[in-house]
Amino acid sequence: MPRRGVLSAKAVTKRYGPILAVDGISLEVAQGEVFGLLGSNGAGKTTLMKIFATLLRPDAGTASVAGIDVIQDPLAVRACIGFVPDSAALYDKLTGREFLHLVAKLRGIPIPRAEQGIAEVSYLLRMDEELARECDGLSRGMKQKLALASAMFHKPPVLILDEPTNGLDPRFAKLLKGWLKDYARAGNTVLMSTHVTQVAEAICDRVAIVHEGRIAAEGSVAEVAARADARTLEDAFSVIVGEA
Amino acid sequence: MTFALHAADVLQTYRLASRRFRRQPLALPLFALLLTGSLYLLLRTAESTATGEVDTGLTITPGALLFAAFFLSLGKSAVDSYYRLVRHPPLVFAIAQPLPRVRIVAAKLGTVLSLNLGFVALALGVATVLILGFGMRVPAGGLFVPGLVAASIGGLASGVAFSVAASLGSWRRKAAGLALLSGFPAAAWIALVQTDPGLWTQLVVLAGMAVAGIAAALASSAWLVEAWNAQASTRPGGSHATREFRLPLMTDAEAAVFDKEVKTAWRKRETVLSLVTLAFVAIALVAVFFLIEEMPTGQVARFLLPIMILAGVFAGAAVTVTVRGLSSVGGEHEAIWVLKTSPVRGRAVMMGKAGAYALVLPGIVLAAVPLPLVAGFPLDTVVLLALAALTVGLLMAALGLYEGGRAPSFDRASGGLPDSFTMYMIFIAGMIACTVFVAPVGVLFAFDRPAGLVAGVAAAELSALALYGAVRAAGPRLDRLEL
Repeated sequence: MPRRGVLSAKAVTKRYGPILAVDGISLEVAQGEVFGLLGSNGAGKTTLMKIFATLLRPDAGTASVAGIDVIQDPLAVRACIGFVPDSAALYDKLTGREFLHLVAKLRGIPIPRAEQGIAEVSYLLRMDEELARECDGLSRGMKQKLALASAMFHKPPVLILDEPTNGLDPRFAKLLKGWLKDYARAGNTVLMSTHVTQVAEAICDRVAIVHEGRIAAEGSVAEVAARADARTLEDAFSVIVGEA
Repeated sequence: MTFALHAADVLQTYRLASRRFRRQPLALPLFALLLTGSLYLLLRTAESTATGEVDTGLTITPGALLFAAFFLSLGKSAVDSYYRLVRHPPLVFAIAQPLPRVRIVAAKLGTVLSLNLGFVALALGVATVLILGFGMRVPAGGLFVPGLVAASIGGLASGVAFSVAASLGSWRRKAAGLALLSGFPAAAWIALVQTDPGLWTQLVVLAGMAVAGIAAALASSAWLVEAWNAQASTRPGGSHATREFRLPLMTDAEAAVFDKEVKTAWRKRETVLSLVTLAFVAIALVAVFFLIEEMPTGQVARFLLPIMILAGVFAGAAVTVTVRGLSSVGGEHEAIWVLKTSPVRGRAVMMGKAGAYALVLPGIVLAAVPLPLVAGFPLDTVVLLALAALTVGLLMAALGLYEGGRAPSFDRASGGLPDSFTMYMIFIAGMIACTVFVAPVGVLFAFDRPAGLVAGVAAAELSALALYGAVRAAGPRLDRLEL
């Protein structure tokens, strides 16, 4: 069972000029949970995740990670998260290993200690070859694996992943899903967005369907499906987004 | 389709510029002020020299000015075309369409021509108002202006072809392409400077070069896909042994950013390009010295060589440290998330970047030394010029980093550089700052050499402080940046 709230948003609002991207969302994600954000394109999922990752400031409301306000102390928030954006742009001219070393040094992690984590993640994602090559020449899926590795190797208590299975082949997507479940069971917290309802069904303890900047439904997969009187999350999504 | 591509380019540029001006309401009046002021100074200098009000002892021909315009246009166009055409990932959407590649190049050529000629037209309009308003007696005859326009078109059009040729897949092919195009600058040099056959003949030659330049640009479309693939598409990346670069006294975070910048600049060949540029400046200065058949003896002639050296150093610093500083944050493009989600302050990031850019400073100082040595300047003058070059390098780095951190541009079409208006403002502001820091030192040195040297050291220290201040000011901006 979840023990205590780690990610918290209270009446968070964010505008881009005339566009209201997030409209007063309140959300709690507990420790040990894998929480999934689902929604149509432009629904506000990425904006909400960027607010938790301190890449955006909310116009109204408050957001905190591990009890730390994202506005008051963004550096402390960053110290306890691992983040992967929806498009995993990396430094083209660094090798995969150099990229991970850069992330380690920016986080103040000594390289020998970082190497331990890198070895574990590289074994999980089978990415020895990528580590030796410049990021410039990596395929989209390989870059995604490297971005995931950069968020995972230092074992942060909170992972914020925007479309983490993007570009991954089915084998690695399956491996990742298993790893994320185990990671949360070990007492960490995972907030992820996805367009693939089967991914959410497979690993998310709870999900929220975001529609036009608001949460249209929230709960376990079964609860959300029941609310829409649907058998699957995919059907529930269509019903909820259709009626919202 | 050609017009649709061109219109999309222009619309994007217009929207980026208007967004910048909306965010910084003072930018437009400041640009107008700097443009008018710099043109006034240029015209006033031309008037003073031509009327003998100030005896520089120099003869600057219209042909030499046209050559400068041609060469500047070529360089600007080559850079514009590189980012808008050759290294532009979204170009794939145009390449994949069922249309001849020559139309794509025609559209991009249209963009390069219209944006840059627009600026030339604006400058000419302001200059006309100034000449008429102040009753200036500027020796620019009726044929000079069409000559300037033709030189700009010739330079801009051939610049597109140069950009494609320099981006081909192998060094041999690059060399062959550039050798084919070398006729353009060679013809410009012969017709405008070496033989100086008069403005009418020069205008005819420049008109011919404009037509030939457009033809060369369109013909380069045959190699567009090769160049684009070589520069913009994914290739198997190289592998490297992991080693770390850092400077003494740096924190771990600063060292991490420094290490990344040094490796990236080396592997993108930016370091080599910077050193080649500075070597070119040093060689060009010495070459110009030997081309001056008789040293002028006018009242400001004693300052001629120092001014020439510092002008060369300014240009070298502008295209090496300032440009890199301007793209310090914007050049990260989408990868900026790595720095922005790390528990590191913006000041540490900017300090690491400043350290990496400062590695070019010894090259800037060395570029100032050969000419004074060749000209037989006393040792203290050589030292003073080296100090002045260091001052210029530090100030130009400070300006680039400050503006690059304050208002980054993430536009891939410009390689993370701000728009041309901002670039112009920064370079003019740099010129003013360098003059304010260096000129008083030079005057003091002319009267009291030891005091001048001490003032030179103080100016260099102050400019180092300016660089530190720029980093301190840009860091919090990076912290506040929203993505």
